[in-house]
Amino acid sequence: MILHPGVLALLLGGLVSLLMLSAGALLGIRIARRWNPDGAEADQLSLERRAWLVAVLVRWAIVFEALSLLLFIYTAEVIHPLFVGAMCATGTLNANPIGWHLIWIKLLLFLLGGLWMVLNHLDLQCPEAPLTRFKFIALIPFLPLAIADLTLMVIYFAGLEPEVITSCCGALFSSGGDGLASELAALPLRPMMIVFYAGLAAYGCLVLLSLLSRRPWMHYLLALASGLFLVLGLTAIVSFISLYIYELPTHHCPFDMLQRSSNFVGYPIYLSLLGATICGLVQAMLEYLCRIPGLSVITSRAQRPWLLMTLFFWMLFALLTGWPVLFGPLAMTAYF
Amino acid sequence: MRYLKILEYALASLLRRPGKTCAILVVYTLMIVVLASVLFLTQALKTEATTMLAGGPQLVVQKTMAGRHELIPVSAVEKLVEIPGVKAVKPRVWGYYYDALTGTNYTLQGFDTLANELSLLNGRLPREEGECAIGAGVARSRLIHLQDELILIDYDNIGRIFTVTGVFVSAADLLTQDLVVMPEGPLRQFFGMPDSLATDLAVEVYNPNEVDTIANKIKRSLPDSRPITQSELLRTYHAVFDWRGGMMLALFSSALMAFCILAWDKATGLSAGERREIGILKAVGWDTGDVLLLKLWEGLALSLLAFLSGCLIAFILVFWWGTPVLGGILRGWSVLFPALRPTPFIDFYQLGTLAFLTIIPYVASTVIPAWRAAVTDPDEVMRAS
Amino acid sequence: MNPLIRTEEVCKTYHPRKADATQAVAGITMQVASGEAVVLKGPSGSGKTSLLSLVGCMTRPTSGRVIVTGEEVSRLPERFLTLVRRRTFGFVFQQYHLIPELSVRDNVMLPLYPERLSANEMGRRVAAALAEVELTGLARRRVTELSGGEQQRVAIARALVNEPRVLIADEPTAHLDSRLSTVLLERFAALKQAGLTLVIATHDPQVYTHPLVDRIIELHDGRLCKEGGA
Repeated sequence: MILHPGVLALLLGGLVSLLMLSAGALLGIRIARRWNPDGAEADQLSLERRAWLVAVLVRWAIVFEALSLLLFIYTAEVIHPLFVGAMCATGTLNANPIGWHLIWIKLLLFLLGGLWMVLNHLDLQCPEAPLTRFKFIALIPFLPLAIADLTLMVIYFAGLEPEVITSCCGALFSSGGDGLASELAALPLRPMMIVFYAGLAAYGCLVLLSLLSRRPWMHYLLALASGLFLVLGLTAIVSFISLYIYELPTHHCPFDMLQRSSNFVGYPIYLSLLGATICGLVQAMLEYLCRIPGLSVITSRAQRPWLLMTLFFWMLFALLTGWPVLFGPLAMTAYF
Repeated sequence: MRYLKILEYALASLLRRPGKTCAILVVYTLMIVVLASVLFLTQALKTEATTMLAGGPQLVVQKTMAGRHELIPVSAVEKLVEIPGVKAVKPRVWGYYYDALTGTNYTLQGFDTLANELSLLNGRLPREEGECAIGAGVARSRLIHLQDELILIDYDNIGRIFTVTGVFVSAADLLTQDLVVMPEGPLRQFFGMPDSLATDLAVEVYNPNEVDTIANKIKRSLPDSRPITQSELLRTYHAVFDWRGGMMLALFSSALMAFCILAWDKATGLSAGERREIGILKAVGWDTGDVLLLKLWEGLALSLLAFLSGCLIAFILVFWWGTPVLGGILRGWSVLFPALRPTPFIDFYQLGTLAFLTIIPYVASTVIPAWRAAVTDPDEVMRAS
Repeated sequence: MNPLIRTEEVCKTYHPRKADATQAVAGITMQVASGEAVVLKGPSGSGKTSLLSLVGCMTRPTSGRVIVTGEEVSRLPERFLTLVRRRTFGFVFQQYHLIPELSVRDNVMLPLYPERLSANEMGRRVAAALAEVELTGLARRRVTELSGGEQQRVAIARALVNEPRVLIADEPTAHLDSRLSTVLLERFAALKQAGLTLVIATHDPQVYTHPLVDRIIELHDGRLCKEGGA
């Protein structure tokens, strides 16, 4: 167990957001059960007011989770000197591979939470509030995720054993790094670059086409593509974009780019990637919700701005990942 | 626009209730000061340890016997120099000395093994028997200065007199505070250490990246030895300081709880005036969401103000006043250290952690009270006469 | 002609599940046409204020329907009810309900905060509302420094600042002497002339005998007992 201040902060944040999420979800389920627009006025009013509380609780929990993802990566970065052989956050995560699952869970919570907030916003736009029941039932999957998040965090930090010199002999240990990262890093460079840029271009075309055409399947396709785009983007960051950013042919760390030494370039990169993904996923949601009477006007009005945002994030991401590869000082031709 | 307008209103409404605002602000700030001091000091100590070790040898080889540290034969030097990649090997003579007079520990070091970095010396280094140079902490505890005499009891319980020829005034305080330096020969006599043995061996290597490999080779050629690399020492120091800082934070978490209860109480206990005000706002057309936004802004403004002032106060406390009480706890056993003046720094990670530790509990404990206020019935003001 | 506000068998029960359940409004059907001045008359406790709350979208009825500008609002979520209220109605409360620590100008501005308006537009509307009640000179004063009559004018300015279609006043003359009451009623008459619809709850003869009143609705124990011209 490591009693680092950052670890304490993370556990506290995890605990608070779990409490808020579970309070919100439980309250939400109760509201969903009793929700009845034609029911007694006084009951309905108190449900409406509780719905506000749920929305606020969930919103804060999501914000905390998002911040906690950042803090987690930072903490992993900061405590890496505690582990033999760890050079950056990747090493800390490899020291107890549960850390990788934590990142996925936090990321998933963040994505789902973002979608839920859009859903909540749409529901509040419409006087008939047709989504109320659905949106509160949609909170249920958050509960296991939040519980898993906190539990894994505890297990992760409890399982981290810094090798203290006084109890073992010397620098003769090093953590073998055969996690996911090393597999990603080992992907062949040239095909990977081709696949990534082809995917990037295809995704951009799809966004543009969706802007022009109003066919429903287009938007579903876009959402699917957004999911793939996220995976592809993350893979490419580990596989080669990181190399160009650090200007080192062997440094694959996806987290170092969040540091000052790389001018914090990681923030816009990840933000644009996640932004494009969320905005793309929202398309499918809007398309699906179009069928619900009373919502079609609101959703079809919302589609275009979300598409434009997708396009914006896509361009930002393309620019940020293309720039160092095209104009950066590192030339990787020898590695092709 | 709506957001900014409501922010403006929130700030004005905080100023309109100075008593309540101040009460929560003072407690909030106090809590942040305490936590921030712990964090800043922990970080400062880690930085200090890093600076201190940076001047030391890259690799130290100790001998172990029955799992305990033993004196190493000087003859091992020859074996080590033969290992490829090793640039130089130096036997070091040093040890600890418990001073019963002041109840403190000194580190006695042979002069030949001192790193050159210790140039920040007031006076000169000792040259012959009966001379020594001391750290500022030693000077302070014994109330002695340049050219005064330092009396230490040797291994045979005989008092020996040393003339102080120099006092260290190094910036890296931790390194030299408890140091007493004298030439190697007299030190061996003082400790009763035979010439064929040394405390440990300092190894210098050509390529710092290969230090682990060389440590491996040393371990193989001298099976009873324990090679310790600099990075490992650093790791241990970090772990120790982090652990202490974490313990302190864990202790203060009870204070955090108390604070949350207070925040809850302050936010729930809406005064009659506030209740009325929110009722009026609802009646003139503010929605539940608008009042929630108002409360959000109020909370954020308070948090930000408390956070900034708390950090500022902690900064001054740690880096100018040297935190008398806290410092002692964090640094550990020795009484020699308290006069530490760490180098000021600002670390965004620290601030982020601090924000996480303080703002999250505050926000969380005001969510429900804020919501309660926000769902006030708009027609309450109509019915109240 | 389509009435501006219509209620159909509207009921309001406070604390319906508790022992002290009180039916404040018990099945009232009424309507208010655009540009009309209607007085709700009745002894205290007859349900005037509750009916005003229902008509002015402050609260939703327990049963029955409320229709405002052709839209049924009795089942709207609170959020939308608030929106309708803010855009259609201006309220002058019996106790004025100004925030004592704020200046006249800031009090009048309160209803504008939730709207998406520019600072200029907000300033313009506040100035216009203050001019309407002749308080422009006192804009920077704190409301506690004003006399009762002036405070009521601030309340009226606040009610007008959202440019509502209906002005709702609850016992507007309760705290005024007869001279000030006359002035107030003249002001109401001018507002009516300007096209505003007025709904006033009162039991003051000076109000319901005033020529500006088109119709009187008499309430007793939450029921409508008499309706007729002034």
